[in-house]
Amino acid sequence: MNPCQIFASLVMSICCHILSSTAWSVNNFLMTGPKAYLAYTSSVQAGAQSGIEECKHQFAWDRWNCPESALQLSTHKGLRSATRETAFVHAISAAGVMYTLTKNCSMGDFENCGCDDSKIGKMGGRGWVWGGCSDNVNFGDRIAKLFVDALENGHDSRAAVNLHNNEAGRLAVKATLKRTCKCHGLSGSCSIQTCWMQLADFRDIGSYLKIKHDQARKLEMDKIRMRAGNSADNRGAIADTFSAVARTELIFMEDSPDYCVKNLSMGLHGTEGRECLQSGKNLSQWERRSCRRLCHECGLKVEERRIETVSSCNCKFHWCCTVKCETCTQTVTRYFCAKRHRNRRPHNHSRKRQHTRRG
Amino acid sequence: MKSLASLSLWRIIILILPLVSLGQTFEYGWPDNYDKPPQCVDIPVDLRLCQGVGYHQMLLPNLLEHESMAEVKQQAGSWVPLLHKNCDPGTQLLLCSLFAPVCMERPIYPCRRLCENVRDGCSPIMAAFGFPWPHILTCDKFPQDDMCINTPNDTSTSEPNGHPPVCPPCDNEMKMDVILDHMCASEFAIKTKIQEVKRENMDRKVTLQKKKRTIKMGTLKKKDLKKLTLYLKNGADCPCTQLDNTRNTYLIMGRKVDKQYLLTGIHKWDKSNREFKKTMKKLKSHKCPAYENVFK
Repeated sequence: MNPCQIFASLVMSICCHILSSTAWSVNNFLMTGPKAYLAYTSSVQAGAQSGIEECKHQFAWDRWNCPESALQLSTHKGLRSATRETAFVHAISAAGVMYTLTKNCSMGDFENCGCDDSKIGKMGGRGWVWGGCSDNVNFGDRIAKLFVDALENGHDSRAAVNLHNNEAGRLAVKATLKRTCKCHGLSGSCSIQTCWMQLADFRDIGSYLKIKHDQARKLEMDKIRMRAGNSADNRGAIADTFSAVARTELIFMEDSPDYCVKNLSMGLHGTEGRECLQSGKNLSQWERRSCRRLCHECGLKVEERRIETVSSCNCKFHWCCTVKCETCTQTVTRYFCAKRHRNRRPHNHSRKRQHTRRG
Repeated sequence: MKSLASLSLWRIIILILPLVSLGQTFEYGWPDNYDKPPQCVDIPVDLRLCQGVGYHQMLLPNLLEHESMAEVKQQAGSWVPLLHKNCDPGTQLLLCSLFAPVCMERPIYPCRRLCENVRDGCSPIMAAFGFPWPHILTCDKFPQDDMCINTPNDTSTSEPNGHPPVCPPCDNEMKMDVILDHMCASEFAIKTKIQEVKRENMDRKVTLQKKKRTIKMGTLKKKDLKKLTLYLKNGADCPCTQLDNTRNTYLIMGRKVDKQYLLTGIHKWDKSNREFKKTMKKLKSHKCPAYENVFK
């Protein structure tokens, strides 16, 4: 994927930058030098990718649906926006990097880190003790901050906003950490119980940050002090503004554009052609209202399309050990946003475009 | 940072059954997006719970969140005595489908009906030893469709025997493996004679003679040993030939549940029996699975 390749190349250049800018002793260089940092780059890349995938899932039925093009543009200088959505991208990417680093650490993928064993053997509560492999979030936090924050080399308010949102993403990983226990007494009883701290599902972290996205606050910079033009005063103004915001909250500086409309200079495709959900069980309220939000409120109509699908069904497990399935053909109805036609005359040509579901 | 030679990863398989409409299938999948999938490994010969189950390879980690083979063996060990009771023909299949699950592209869970049959047949026996049906085997969480493991001959119905069933702690084969399994599943074991047997509500109260020799101390303390009284749980009316004969010396096993000491096994101390003598000799070198060692 393009954004992740750009991200990875930036990470590689940052490795060199870090190594060249720090005074390494020979021993430190050999033990913790480029080999150690290179070991993290694949995790950083995979973590950023998981962040993007989660972004697509969380915004699947929003007008802004985490498009690839918007992410690509945001890596170029000068074209960066500081909207509410950009805040989410920064937070979820940082969370994804931290999450993956922490997971890989617990799985023993890195030589110089392991489980968080600070509590091993201690009494935790009534009837249980700390044990197992607690996820080492402090390690993931430290390395993720090192890699992700290094992408921000400016000192303006926009860079400060991005750094803040990066930290909010990492704090989301810590906030969703949960105690998990295992019963290992006789015959599976809970007479003996061991507990450890474990990362939540990344989906839970995405949902947590989605709520933060909805509650994000817009920064109003002190314009009088900004007008002075003194860079030292600017930093003071930035520091004053940020001290009023909790580190766990997302912040942005610019109002979001109209995501209904196509705006290629911003990498936005608008909602025309987007799929939406109309009916069906197990749909959330947000999903059920997606046609209204994506189509009607954007001045478009809902177009119904009948699509035939083939899938496995009636699977049976046969002893021992095979699974056999039948093949079923099913007609499903899907809904897409289409332009309203001004004239009342029916058009002759039928649309042949097929839009695949994303996310 | 501390460098560890081997690290284990703990995960939770959260089995959440949403309210599904009739006919809609709920797909069980791997629990976490970011974890490595389980590996296909041979069932080791010393995983005795699952020898002869009908397949030879299993998934590790298994469906009970056991991460290492050492953990699987340790946790499976306490279930081996239940197999000896033959309380339901599907016992081994149910347990092994979770402890040593079959290697498939996605996990195959036991069917709810299989679980319910084993639970209904075996939970009275487990209760006699002071064990409730465990949370890890709650039947409601298992699937009811065709994508699950059932006993191959599902239509067979068990025929009731003519005589009443023997009390579970008294119904033991004079066999080394069985005795050693029960020894490991019990907290203590002593050699002694029976002084008195009395009915008490649904249980039978067994008073032992003062003269005792400890075979396995376990959690028992010396002062408790002197005035030890054991209870045959839910054993007021079931036959137990050992308790009827107070002249013999017995190998008696038990465990403590709340404030009661429960009888978990009783064998005649029969030095003339070759199997018993072999067992006592083996007992000196036999090592039970150490539960605390598997976890840090």
